[in-house]
Amino acid sequence: MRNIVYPSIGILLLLLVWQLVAAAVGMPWLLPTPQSVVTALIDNANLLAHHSIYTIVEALIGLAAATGIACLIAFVMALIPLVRKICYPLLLISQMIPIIVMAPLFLIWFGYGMLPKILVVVLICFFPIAINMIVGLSAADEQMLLFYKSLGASRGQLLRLIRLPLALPYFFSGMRIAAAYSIMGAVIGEWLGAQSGLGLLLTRAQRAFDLPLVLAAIVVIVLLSCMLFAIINLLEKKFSPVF
Amino acid sequence: MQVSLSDICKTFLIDGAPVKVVDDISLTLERGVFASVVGTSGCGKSTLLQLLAGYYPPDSGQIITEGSICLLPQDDLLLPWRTVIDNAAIAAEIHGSDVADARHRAVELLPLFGLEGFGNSLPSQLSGGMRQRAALLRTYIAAGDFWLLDEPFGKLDALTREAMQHWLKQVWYTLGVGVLFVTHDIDEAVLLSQRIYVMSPRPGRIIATVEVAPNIDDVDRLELKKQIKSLL
Repeated sequence: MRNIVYPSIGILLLLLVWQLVAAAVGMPWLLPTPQSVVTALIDNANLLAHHSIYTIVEALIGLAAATGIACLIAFVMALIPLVRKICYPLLLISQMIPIIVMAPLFLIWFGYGMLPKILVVVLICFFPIAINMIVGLSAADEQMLLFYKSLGASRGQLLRLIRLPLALPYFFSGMRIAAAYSIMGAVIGEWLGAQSGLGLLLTRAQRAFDLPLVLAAIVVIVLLSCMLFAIINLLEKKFSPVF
Repeated sequence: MQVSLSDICKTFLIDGAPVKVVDDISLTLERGVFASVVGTSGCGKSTLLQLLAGYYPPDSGQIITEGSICLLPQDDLLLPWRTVIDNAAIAAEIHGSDVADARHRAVELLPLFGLEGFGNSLPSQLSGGMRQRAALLRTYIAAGDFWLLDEPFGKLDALTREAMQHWLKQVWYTLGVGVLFVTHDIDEAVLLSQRIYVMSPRPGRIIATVEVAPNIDDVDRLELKKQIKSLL
């Protein structure tokens, strides 16, 4: 229960301050009240739902691809030290390129369809998963591995019995970050040019100075990100070892 | 059934410089015999056990092992996400032998190991003494002939430690295994062992072998402790 109470207090406080400030400013076309945002949410429910579906699909495909790629990279890098030495700088560089600069390039290379958006999501999401997995797969201490090796465990068994279970909590904390970023990644991709999606809706609403709709779309983005975050938490509860 | 070491040497690179840790050690373990190695910290006692357990090969010398042998490491190294039974049976899983049978044996041994009712508990739910007993159960399921115990009671409080010493002696007697028990505690070694190997500071050499008579009286025991202390 306490898990819900305290965060709710924070959100309610934010809404209260927002309402007060908006009322004091008294220019609803510049700073809409929370109320008008809720109205915009309800009035544009169909429109928001339509665009959300595209964003969600891009985010989920991107997240899935990022998870697969990240795990592959992490396994190879954690198990083969030479590969780790060669690839670690590349991995870091991939995160130093501003996404906002890469996205237009993807657009030029891959057009206005879903693929460039998915690529943006992958580029954003694979990193936290990969880095956490590499740490997790290296988390077993030397004494532990030596002991189970002395019981006769092969490299594969050490991986399955010790290193993988140890890595799972790390994997999930990477997944949580990635899930929270995935919707944002898709929106960034859409922002720079798309046929559908919340990012496109945002740019249109902005150009039309429909600020309640802009904020309504942002609320939807936040809610979708929270939902993905919660799903990952549930998966972790189900699959991650408890100890 | 016995395990014999002859002329074992081991050198490690520590900060780039070779350090001889174990120097020319020869000894024999017999099944059913409780032997201890006493020595100061860092004298190579643990290395000796790890050599016997097969962590790494000796630089020179020979180890001949009959029967099965397993180490109980200083930290119990139980897998925290596995229950006591699952931890105990892990060797069978690794060897691809009958896991159900190993689990069954583990369940039957729970009372002897003071873990009755805790078979499905996770290590984090156990006390320090219970964790050590669970780890020893894993050792026994893995190897029924020889146990290598590396300061198993080092981290326990004095009261638990004393209880565990008496318990260990009883379990050893019941199961008839051969034990090589490493400790820096002379009292503990004299209380438990039939034979005590005294090890010198690094490089570890065996400087004396002391036999403890089974019906030793308190006066002789005190004398023996003094004698070992003077050697160290």
